[in-house]
Amino acid sequence: MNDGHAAVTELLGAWALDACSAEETAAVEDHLAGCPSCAAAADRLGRVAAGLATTVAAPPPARLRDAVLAAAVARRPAAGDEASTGYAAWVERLDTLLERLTPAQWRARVIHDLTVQDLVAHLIAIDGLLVAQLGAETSQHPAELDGTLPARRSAASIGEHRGRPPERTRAAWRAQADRLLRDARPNTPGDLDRQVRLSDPRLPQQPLRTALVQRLFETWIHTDDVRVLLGGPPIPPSDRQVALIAAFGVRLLPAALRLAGADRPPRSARLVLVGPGGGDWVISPAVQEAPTRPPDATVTMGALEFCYLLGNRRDPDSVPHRVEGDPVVAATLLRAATTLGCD
Amino acid sequence: MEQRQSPHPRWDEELCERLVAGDEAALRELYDEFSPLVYGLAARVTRDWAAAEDISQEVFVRVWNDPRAFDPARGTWRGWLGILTHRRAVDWVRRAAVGRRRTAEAAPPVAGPDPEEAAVAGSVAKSVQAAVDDLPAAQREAIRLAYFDGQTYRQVAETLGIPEGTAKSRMWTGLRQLAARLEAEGIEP
Repeated sequence: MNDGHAAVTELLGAWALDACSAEETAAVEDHLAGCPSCAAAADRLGRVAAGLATTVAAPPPARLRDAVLAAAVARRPAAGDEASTGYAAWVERLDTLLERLTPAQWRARVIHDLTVQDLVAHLIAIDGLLVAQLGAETSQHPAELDGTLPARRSAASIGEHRGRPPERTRAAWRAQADRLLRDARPNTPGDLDRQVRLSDPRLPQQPLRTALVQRLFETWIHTDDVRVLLGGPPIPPSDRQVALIAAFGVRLLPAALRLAGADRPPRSARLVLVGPGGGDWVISPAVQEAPTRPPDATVTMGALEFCYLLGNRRDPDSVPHRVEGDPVVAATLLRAATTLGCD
Repeated sequence: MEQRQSPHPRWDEELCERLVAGDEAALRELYDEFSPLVYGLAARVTRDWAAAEDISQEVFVRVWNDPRAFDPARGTWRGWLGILTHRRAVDWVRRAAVGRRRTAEAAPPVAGPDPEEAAVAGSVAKSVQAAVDDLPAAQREAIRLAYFDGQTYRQVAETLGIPEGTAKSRMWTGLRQLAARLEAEGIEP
């Protein structure tokens, strides 16, 4: 060990400059893995060596930027694309379930007073709000921006589809979902950043990537509704999808709290979501974030349960969770979460 | 090129989190901030523009694909990108040397940003350049041949006509002196 130590110390400068042979480099790195003091010295010299690069910086040709970004996204899809592929997967799953339904099952009540056919008609209305913003021909945006818009659109669509063969409702939903996926496909790297309205037009506009997460989320929730009706085992979202949905909820909770009038005075809460896709956030309805004082409450719950809560498929009082601090602040947060979902 | 200290103290860490989350805007930000560093370094070491483009692409695709390999506790994005780029550039030079039996003397005089000629703007680059200029000539030359020409310490020893042990110790001493000076100035390369 002492021998190795001395030899490595002697090589450290050359190693930091990538000036060792492959064998010596491997020997140094083996040693560093087990020797914190050498590793700290090596990190320090390595940082300095890398700092030399600043003296030769030169702008690359402009075309390199698009080439690099395209190659990167081809290797690992961006989150927006994760939302698209995730949404596409849930469209496929729901379609598979719907394909097998008997006429009686189409008429069965699933949630509230809605039948499966009503639910699909509802999805047509809500998906259509995003399609209308993306589509070239119908690019104008719904003029009415009050909170009743989605409910009115939904009621109209449900009324329209009742009495039609369910197969036509399914086909209309599927065709529109496919169109949404086509229209949302980014052509240039910034496309998923364009601002669009979510299904509730009172919420602040969001990047398209976020709106796609909402479509994924709502399609999963309704797939789960149909799955419950049929008595099948749960098909939970993937861990990454849970992370996307949770992040969607966290991003919009401040606005949901403001809409619920829970911003006077602005009280903040820490939300700790445990399990795959979880995380740890402080949520405050204040527009200007100034988290100088500690949160008024901490809510801890499972990340997947939080997704069900967002979908209004869990009762905020009985969903398993733990509260520390002000119970009113915690309850307000959980209730606000249920308003971000879908009915 | 503008090379400044990280935009704010937690910038490196936050950028890492955003990359992990698949935020493409974070990749664009990283590219816009550091592509001159990556490309300039790769061009200087390889003296080959096409190779510099390939290496730049490899480096940014690598950090996008595996952002967790960056450890904010151990350094900055600038440092990490510098390390990734340099290693690839040096590998390229050594592969090319094997292919063409190229020696340092026979290296083609391909245009590339030269440390002496590069427009050294930005606070970090200026401080680093000043610290390099103040090194004893023997250390500066050993570091230059190794870092910017991609020579091994054995080649450096040969180029300078000095024992290998001397080449190694000049690199080590020179880097330590640079580190001490930059740390004293509060610069984290």
